Amino acid sequence: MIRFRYAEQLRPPAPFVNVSLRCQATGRQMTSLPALVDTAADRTVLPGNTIEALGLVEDGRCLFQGFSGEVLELPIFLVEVQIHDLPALQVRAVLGEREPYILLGRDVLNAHRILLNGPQLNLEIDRPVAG
Amino acid sequence: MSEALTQPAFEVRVPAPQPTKGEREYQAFLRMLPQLLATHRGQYVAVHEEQVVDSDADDIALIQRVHARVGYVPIHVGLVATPLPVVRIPHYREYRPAGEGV
Repeated sequence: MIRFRYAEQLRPPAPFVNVSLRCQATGRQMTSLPALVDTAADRTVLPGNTIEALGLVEDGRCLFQGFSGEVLELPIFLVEVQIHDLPALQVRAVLGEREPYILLGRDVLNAHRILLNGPQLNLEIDRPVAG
Repeated sequence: MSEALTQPAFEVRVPAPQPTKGEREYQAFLRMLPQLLATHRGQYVAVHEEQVVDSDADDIALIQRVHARVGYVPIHVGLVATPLPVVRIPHYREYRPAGEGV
């Protein structure tokens, strides 16, 4: 089991994990990036500077709807996402040009068993059972 | 008494915005969608150079296969469906003016 402390500099404190990102095509990778656990997000969101640093090229566009109901067309990118040292996942993440950090959506979160322990301000992720 | 002068109007030449390759492939996908619904409904199709070059039920396998064939360039891989799916990311942060903390 892996435990991460909530980021207490946010109000209210928020569940963050460290992730690594990798572009399979270019081999470029980034490690130890803070990512907010966002169970409301259908897909994972990557800040613009992350997409640029990895040299990702878009492989599609989707329609995205936010809190206000406004629908936007945004590019999506195939990327490998790994929480800590857990098995990496290939997902199609969306550009969040002005997002300050990664938003981990349910395309990644649903592959893991996660306990949000709000009173203790930490979250736990189970390691997959071998075999 | 002053005279009214007619000044010549300068013509401002504004270059037409050039869509990116990814935008062109997406627009081509939208143009072809009515025909694709008859032939590829429920499948993902890959559009490169404004043509459908491959299709699959697995979008990630399709992207990898097309990139291996045409190089790591922008393409459009989309689900042939109507209406097009909308992805929800209802994310807003509370706005706090500078000096009022994070």
